[in-house]
Amino acid sequence: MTCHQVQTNLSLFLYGDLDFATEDALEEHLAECPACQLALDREKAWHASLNAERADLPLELLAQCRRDLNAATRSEPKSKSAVPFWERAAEFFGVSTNRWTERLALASLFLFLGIGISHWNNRFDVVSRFTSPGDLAGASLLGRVQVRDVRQVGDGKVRLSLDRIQQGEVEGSLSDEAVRRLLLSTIRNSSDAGLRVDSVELLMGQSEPDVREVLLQSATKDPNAAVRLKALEGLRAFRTDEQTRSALLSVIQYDDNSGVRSEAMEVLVPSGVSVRLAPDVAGAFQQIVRSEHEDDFIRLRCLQILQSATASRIY
Amino acid sequence: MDTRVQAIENIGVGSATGRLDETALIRAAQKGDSEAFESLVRTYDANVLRMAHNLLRSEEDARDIYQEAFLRVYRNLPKFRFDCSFSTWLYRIVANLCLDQIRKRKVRKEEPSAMETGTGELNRFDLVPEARADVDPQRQLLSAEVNARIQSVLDQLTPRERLVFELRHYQGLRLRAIGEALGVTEEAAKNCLFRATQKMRSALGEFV
Repeated sequence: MTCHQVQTNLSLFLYGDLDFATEDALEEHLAECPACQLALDREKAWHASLNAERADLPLELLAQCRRDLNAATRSEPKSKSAVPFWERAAEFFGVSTNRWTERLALASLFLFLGIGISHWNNRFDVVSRFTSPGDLAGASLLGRVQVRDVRQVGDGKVRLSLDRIQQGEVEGSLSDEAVRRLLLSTIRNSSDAGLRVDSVELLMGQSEPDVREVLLQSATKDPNAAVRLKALEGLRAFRTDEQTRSALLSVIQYDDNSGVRSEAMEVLVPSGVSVRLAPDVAGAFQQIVRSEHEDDFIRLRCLQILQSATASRIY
Repeated sequence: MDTRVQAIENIGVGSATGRLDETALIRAAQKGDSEAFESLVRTYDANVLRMAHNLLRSEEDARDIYQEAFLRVYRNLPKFRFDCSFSTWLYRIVANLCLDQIRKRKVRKEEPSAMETGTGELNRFDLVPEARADVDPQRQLLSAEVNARIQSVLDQLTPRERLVFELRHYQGLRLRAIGEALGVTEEAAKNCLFRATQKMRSALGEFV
């Protein structure tokens, strides 16, 4: 490496932007060349002078910018979240969509689900076409036909009374009681968690007591965290209700999913809203502050709420 | 969850809450969490403003760049897909805004040695810190001269060289990130930095 090559690369050397081979060669040259060492000292000096002569950022300017931005974003229309379903699903499963390996895993999951659904549909086609006892037996195995009664009819024969599950569609508004009852029944009884989530979502904003009842049950007892989260979202409309408050406190204290606990806190004491705490809420929060060791967010949020609380009653 | 922990840290309730998870913060902001958005802004805004102020040497222009950059972030955050880091995306926005502004100035042939402030125009020599009784007057004079020389040589850089130099020297961005922010290769950013430092060395190397 020549002195000229070394001296023209000194800045990149100081920034650490040379490739390893060039850096090694440059260091070797520097160790043996006083002229280049002097050039390095000069390089460091003008770098330092750049930093020393730089005007400080006026703090008032920064504060003013923040105020202006705050005012401007407040006047902006709220943009609808554009986080696609698959990313929200990934987030729910605790999978990051930032890394390709995890994206691939997620894609495989969806592919697997797609194949599964396709396979199920194929089976459904077979069932819908059954015409003989053999087909019926197959259909029974698939759960499309339920045997309600069995009896002997002589000559070594038996009679089976069957319930065939048939597809049908109902259309109506959410104010229609029949529609609402079907949805409520789905939330209570369906084994499909996705269907339960969708049903809860449809019932959001309905203020009937039976809706609240089912939401409370789902928020506290549903085995699936996504359903519990969705039910909590639905309970926002009822948060001033005493029974709802008690259920929310129970979720905050005992749910095993920290996301669910966090959402329950948000429903009970929304961020940025000034609230006054009822004694039972304050007591529960104090207990959490004392005893919660695993979830920093829950503990700190409780602490924050307690610090900002001013009276003894909620709302 | 971490987003809210960070928000709590910001208001001073707790401190032992672990480090900021920027991804969670972005996701929360994408869902409309204004506290998360504010935390994101506060992570970067001093650097953004400093960069705009240093490049444009006008408080008014720096304020405009700040406002426009973060409003663009606010409007487009829901579409941010994590294809690059948030800081790269932000610096790309700021860099483009600054480049546009510098080019506009070149067209208008603005006098670069004077800088605008909230209270009127200020000569670059006035940027030198106030004289202190214990400071050698000769040293102060030298400092003013160095400062003037620095501004002069910075003005001689092309807008892109200026920007690359600002991002590398003052903002500490890696060349790869600079390349991503400017939409060029890492090698192109390196060449640009090389040219900028050559010019700086020629003007300042013997002077300091």
